[in-house]
Amino acid sequence: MIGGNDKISNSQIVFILITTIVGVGILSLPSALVERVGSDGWISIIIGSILVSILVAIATILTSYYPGKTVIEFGREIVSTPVSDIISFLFIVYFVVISAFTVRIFAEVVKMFLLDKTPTEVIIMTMLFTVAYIVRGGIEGIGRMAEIILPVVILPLLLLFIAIIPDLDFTNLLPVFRTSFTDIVKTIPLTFFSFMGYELILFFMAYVDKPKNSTAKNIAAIVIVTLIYLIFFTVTLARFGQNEVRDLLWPSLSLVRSVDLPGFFIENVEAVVMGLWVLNVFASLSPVYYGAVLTLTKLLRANEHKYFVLPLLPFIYILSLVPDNLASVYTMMDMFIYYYTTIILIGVPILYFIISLFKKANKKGVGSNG
Amino acid sequence: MDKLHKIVLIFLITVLLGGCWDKIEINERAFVFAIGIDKFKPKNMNGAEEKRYIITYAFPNVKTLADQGGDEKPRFVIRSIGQNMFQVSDILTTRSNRTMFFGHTKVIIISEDVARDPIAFREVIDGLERYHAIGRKVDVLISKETAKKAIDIVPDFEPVTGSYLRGILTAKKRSARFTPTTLGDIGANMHGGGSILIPMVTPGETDLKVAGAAIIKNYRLIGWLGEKENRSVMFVKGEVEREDITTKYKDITIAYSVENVESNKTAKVEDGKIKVGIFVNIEGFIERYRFDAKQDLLDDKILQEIEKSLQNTIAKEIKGTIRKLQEEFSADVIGIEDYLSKFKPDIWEQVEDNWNEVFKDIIIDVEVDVKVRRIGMTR
Repeated sequence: MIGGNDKISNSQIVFILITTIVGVGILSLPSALVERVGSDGWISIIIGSILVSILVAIATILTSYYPGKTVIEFGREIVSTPVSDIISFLFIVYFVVISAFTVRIFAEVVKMFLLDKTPTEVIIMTMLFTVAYIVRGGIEGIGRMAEIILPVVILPLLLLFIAIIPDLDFTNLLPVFRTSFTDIVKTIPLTFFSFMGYELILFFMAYVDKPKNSTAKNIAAIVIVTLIYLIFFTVTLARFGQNEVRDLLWPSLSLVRSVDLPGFFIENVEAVVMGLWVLNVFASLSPVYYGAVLTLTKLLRANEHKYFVLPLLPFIYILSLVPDNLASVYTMMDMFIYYYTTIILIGVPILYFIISLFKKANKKGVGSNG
Repeated sequence: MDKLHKIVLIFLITVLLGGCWDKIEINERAFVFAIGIDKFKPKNMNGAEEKRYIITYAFPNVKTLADQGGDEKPRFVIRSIGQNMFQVSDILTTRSNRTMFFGHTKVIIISEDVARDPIAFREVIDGLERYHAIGRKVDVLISKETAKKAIDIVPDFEPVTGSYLRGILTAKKRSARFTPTTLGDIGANMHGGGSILIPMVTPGETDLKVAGAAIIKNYRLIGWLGEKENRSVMFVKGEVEREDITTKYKDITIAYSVENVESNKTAKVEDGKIKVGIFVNIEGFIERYRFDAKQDLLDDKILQEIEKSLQNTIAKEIKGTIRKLQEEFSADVIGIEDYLSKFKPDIWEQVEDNWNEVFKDIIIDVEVDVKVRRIGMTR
């Protein structure tokens, strides 16, 4: 059952989508793209975002067939309870792994730039407890948080980008269209999975109060994310050039760190930027965590999600500490993404959508015959 | 919530929120403004293979920065020997009550013998790039003598070496005799044995001189460019903002000041050889002529002849430098690689893999166009 408090507006969904998708992926996206396709990376960002937009449209239309129900519930109607419950379980695993990955990258970055003597475990725990707190507050709290955090993070970043303009050399974006088409196609999985998080539509649309033009709004979220990615990609490349971007672990962070505010008495703005970024990770992590909690609640047909928040926390915590180092974090994540997430993020929405279309057609057929 | 709960909560807050693992009081920090890296050459190596460095740190006395120091020493220099600069900063904590802080580092001076050794140079650059606190905008200089000596000099104008050198380097608007190079530039250009110029610093009595450049290729220093040669490189790159040229016109030496430079490049393949054209357009004004000379300057014909004379002077300089770069060093520091890879990818893809060898044989044409825009207050 949906309580009276658990209502969000469609624009809040948009905010949640943007903050979730632009999480830790944006840190390494430019260097991963430049390494594979050089200065043509923006093409694969655009192709990836078009594919994601199609999936977002499918997911939103699918949820509109079953108003007020999350994918866990309408999945049972579509593919029978046992199959749907297995898929829901896969979703929980997915959310938990993604949360663990995000929080681990977060801890690595914070440890490197801010708190070099604080143990990783403590950084992870602090973040997880904070996230657990907002998740207990439910979807409404998360929606409002996303609404507040997104402008707070985006506006200062745009200002910083203005300060960086004199240092940019846009000829670094040349040459264009030099990469073979097959090379670009090969990077599409990479850009596609930079949009991980859009699947939350399947879960959160159920809570939208009076949905209207939802498809267009959700696609708008993807468009905004694409713009953010494109800006980061072009500006990093223009600032550093191909060779250096390839060399940097987190070019987006190095970019904002290289800003010199003209005539400003603070020379290093990195502390401010890191603060903003921590907010962003928080806003990215909480919807995913809530996704896991929500799925578990619905799977067990429980009424109250609050009881499931803390029990999930140890799983995320332990998983996040499994990789020995940063390199193995990224290796494990790539494996997980390519084999597991493909099924969940692409397979499930399309499968559900096709079956539900058939069922609708059948129903209509039966209705007209009778 | 009863009273006990509240009290416990307040205690928890004060205990848990007050602490910080990484807290260092500001007066216990040493803000390292300049780092010098030298090679350590012991008398008997005992077969030790690994490189050891003498690292010098200079940091200002924070008290004097706030103008309350009185007679205190304006800055401190501390040095030690170690495998790398981080080991050294750890060693130094045993000798100093301060914690080294690199967030405000302004310049890094690398000595010639480190730069001449490719392994040592790569070790040093990697260590600097990998360390998070050192920004990629830190300026790097190469010292013809030891870096130690350069840092030990207390410049008269500004005792803090880091600020002093940064001040000179940001004065690109006044001179084209050096090419400011940051750590990030080095990282971007040294890949695959690429070439780059790093400005040279020469210690004087009570000052430091930044002029000329070290040519880095294949991860090591292969030679030097003089001040004027460096100026030619800057002309080719179109990065000159202010420079003075002297030329002769009918036995009168004329001082000409460059205000604006634009440079364009073209490239094509002719008979299997790459032909690069460089066009340098220079604008400026006459600074000095000769008082009461026969012809005054308010005459277009004379100005055109002066322009021609300037063109010859500058073109000769540039051509000489390019010949030196091609024949002696085969080091492309004039940005042709950059141009080809961006604007002529078809040509670039054929020569990409052995550019260092190809560069020697490409044909470079230089054309200089000088305009005298102003002649000053007198005729």
